[in-house]
Amino acid sequence: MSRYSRQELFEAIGKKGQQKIRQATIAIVGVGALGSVSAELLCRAGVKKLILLDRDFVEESNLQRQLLFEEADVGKAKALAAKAHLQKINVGVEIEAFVVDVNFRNVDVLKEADIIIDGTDNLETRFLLNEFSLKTKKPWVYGGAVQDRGFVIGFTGRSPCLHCVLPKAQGVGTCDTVGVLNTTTTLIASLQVNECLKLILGTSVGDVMHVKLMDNKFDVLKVKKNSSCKVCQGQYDYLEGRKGQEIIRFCRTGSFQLMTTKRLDLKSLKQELGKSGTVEDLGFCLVFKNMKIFPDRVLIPAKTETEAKLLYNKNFG
Amino acid sequence: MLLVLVMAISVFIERRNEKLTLKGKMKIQELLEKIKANPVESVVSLNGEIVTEDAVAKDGDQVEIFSVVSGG
Repeated sequence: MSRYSRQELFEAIGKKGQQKIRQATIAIVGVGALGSVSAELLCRAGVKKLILLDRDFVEESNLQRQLLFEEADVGKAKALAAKAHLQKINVGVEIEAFVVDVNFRNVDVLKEADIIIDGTDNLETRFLLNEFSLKTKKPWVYGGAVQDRGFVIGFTGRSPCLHCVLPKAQGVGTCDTVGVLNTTTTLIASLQVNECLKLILGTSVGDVMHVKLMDNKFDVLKVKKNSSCKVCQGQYDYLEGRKGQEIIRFCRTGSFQLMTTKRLDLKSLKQELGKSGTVEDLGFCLVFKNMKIFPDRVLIPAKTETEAKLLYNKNFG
Repeated sequence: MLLVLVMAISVFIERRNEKLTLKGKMKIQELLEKIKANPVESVVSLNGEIVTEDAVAKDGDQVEIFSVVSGG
């Protein structure tokens, strides 16, 4: 029996379907509670390639629900820690990992993917993915989870889109103040991967799935194209940089993320900063006075946005 | 067989776990105002289909107000 025999025996997939899965490249934007589970399921299901993108680092409070990570991963970049674990699960899957904040400047990194899985924790990046999906006609799977509630929607890359569902919603921050169950996140991620498999097989029907676990409530809702949807008409505010924050506050870590005005040369910056303190070089970023410095962004622990800006200007302005 | 006609809009507000009924015919925009739900944070279904604020609910319709979920 082959490694994927249990999938092939299921007639909705079969050998032909498994061949399609083996040829699929999937990008996972955000490798946290949703993305880490999606990554593991897709890796075990035997896709050709996974592209993992995450801007964050593993924290102890992640371990309750981010199944790929263990205690020894705390402090490591999520994308890289996830890659290390996934490679041990299935050597037959190619895995590429990027420690990046996906934004309008670098979103083209997703062009290689056949399907995009949403593992993000904010609406802003989702609206960016939505516009990228429509522009490139690339399917993506939205997932959101909080407390015992969640939504999953498979979008085909054509109308309707996320903006048809949420025409008024604003990009809100990443503040996690109400908690979430690991049963919610793992269920939502499983439904996302199931949608992804259907998109690979060409059998997705594009329903909205909603769950509220403490009440045993499961809903399947229909969504139609909204005729007044500006995004479906080609207005890409997030993709073209007209909308989107340059400064993001990460509530859990008390850090601010500031995008750099020009690309930083980490090699020369390491020498420069080394004159006034210790610089740790992680390869993909520098750590200096608790700040994490990437070529295109800096994570600065600060109490206020003003303090973060002052520290940024002092060191990198 | 006994047919019971519900001559009202049945509304379920998920966040508050609250069921209520409203009489008449109204746009979802007006309905959200009546129940003091923020449209920016709401996903509305009308008889099982996601709709925008311009849609009209009438007696006999089922409306559910879900909260936008952005966590991940």
